[in-house]
Amino acid sequence: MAQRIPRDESLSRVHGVGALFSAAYGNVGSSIYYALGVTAAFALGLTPVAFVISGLIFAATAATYAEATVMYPEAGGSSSFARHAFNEMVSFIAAWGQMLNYTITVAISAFFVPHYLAVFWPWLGSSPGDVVGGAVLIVGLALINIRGTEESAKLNLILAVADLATQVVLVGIGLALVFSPQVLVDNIHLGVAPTWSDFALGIAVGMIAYTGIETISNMAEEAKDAARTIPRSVGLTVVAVLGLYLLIPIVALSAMPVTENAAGHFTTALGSTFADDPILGIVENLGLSSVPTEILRYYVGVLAAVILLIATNAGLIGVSRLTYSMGQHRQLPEALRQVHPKYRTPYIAILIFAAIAIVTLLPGKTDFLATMYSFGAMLSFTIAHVALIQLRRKQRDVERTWKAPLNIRAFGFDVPLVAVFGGLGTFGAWIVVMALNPRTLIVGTGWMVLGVVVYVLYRRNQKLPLTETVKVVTPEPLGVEEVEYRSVLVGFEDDESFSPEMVATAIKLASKRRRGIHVHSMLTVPTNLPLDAEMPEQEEAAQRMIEEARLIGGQRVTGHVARVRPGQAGYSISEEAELIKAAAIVIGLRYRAGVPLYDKTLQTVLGERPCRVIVVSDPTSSPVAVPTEAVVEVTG
Amino acid sequence: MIYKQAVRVFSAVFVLIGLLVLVVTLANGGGPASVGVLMGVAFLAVGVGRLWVGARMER
Repeated sequence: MAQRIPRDESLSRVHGVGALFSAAYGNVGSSIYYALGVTAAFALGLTPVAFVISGLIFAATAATYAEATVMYPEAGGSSSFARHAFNEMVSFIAAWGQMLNYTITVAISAFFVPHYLAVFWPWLGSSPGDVVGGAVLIVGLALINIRGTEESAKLNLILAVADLATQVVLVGIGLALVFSPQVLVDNIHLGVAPTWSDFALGIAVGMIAYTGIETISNMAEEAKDAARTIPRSVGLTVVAVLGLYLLIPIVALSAMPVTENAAGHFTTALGSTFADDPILGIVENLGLSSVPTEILRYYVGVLAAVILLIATNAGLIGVSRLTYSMGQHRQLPEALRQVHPKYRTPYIAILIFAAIAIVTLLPGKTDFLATMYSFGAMLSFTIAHVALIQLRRKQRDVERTWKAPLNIRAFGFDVPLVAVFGGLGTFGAWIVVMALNPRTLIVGTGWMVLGVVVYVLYRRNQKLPLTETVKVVTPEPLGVEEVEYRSVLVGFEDDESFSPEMVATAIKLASKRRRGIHVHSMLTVPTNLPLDAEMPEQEEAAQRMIEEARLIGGQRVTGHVARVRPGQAGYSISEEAELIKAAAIVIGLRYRAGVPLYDKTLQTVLGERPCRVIVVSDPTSSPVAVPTEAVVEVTG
Repeated sequence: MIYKQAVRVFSAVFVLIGLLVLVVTLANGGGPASVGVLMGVAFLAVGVGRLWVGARMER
């Protein structure tokens, strides 16, 4: 008897507002653990203002993402929006920028984990401990991701709540104990500390504190009632993040004011001593007595390390998902998106991008990592804003279930002011990051040029157009749902053509990666010949069916050619199913002049019925089109 | 087609260079009549101008 196993529901539409918010906040909220120190190093006393300005740009970006994601609830974020608004080339540029983001997220998050763990092991807090620790962490997580990992929604929720609660408590204690408006005013020396260019760079770098909004977009396919849940969860994230990211720098700069040293340079401990663990800096300068400070230090150290570890892993998962998505759209060479034969993960891409992440953290320069992140993120966000404006222009008559606020009627369509403002902001930040950091300009431009060159060469090599979308076609299984079978036998006779639908149906039935699919490709030997007679052409044709099935199903598809006498195919299938203990048989339904033909093979298999029998009706195998596609399941 | 796309790409690169030169000049204290600002504006004008001409020709 076949075993019925509930199907994997990981891609069901299950996430509500709470789950989406916790995932987004978990991602965005982790950034403050490294963004605060880097931003303060540039913006000094104007750090809260820099965070407010970058926060407004973030709010506009979030609105853009919400509208475009509701329109196209699919993974990919700005890359997906650009595909719908422009063409595949622009989509690739956005995706490649995102790939840089994920890679740098991995590097910067991993680099900061040892700094927070230094509360236990102080040697991790400085070079080379931090660099080695970060590199080891990336290698470990890359190996785990090659084996395959799943994000735990429950763990994300717990960590997001713990993170939010800790930040609220720190802000509460800080406002009560150290907050001083006078100190905040004294921290600012307009045009001197910070200089205007450093302030502009502070705004651009401050944008890294708001990274992670792509998370909601990537989860859109799993969102319940996307038109309602996505805008609400985005709105909640924006409110929580804007509020806290205004208050945390205020408390931090009250606790660690800007001072002028003997050489006449202005500095704050937030951007120097505690640049690599700014939240620990706040804890140590809250003015609490030694025991609560020590307890809070250990707590924040552990929490921050865990949150950053999850962020590192999220970056690697992002690389994995983006590689898959880019592979599906033929944007990356096969070699790069090659899937591991056993674990079914894009291991080459994970290894390469993990190696790039390690290389970028080797110098131990957080400002370089921050500006590189900003480079990729600002490019990606700018494309998202422009794509939204273009979508409004191109699809002006399409009814939208959710629209970004603040629109003005011009040029014959509703111009989204948030996208205009956000686009100018992110584009300006992108220009500033490049103009004021020659190293970032060179490395970032090199990254983009390398990507575009590889894309163009690959597309030319494959004879694919540069700007048109070409998607890898996976045949849709014919309505088989709800159950999963252990091993599945697919029976092909030599007088029928290969049916991709039959293999796709078997894959769907055996959807977990452990389940095997066995192709029983039969070769009918006429009775006037011995059973082992030489029939090279027929043998090759039967073998080809197995190979074609492997092309669709990959390594888990096995098969063999069975020689049978005329009229014995049904018995051969049944015997083979019993022999390999198959839990289901997939067999094709033939047609004659458009009429289903219950031939002898089918009758025999249904009569023998060693297990469940799935009969696939494949209209393409019939000379006469059949109006409906169907799967008939016969219980054994 | 390739020619048109190349023109667009190079025009965009000119705009980008113009903006970068402008920001660098202003960040280093360059005034409105400094060489950097003039060069930046020139690059910007050439890039935007070529894009505009291209768009008009397509219409």
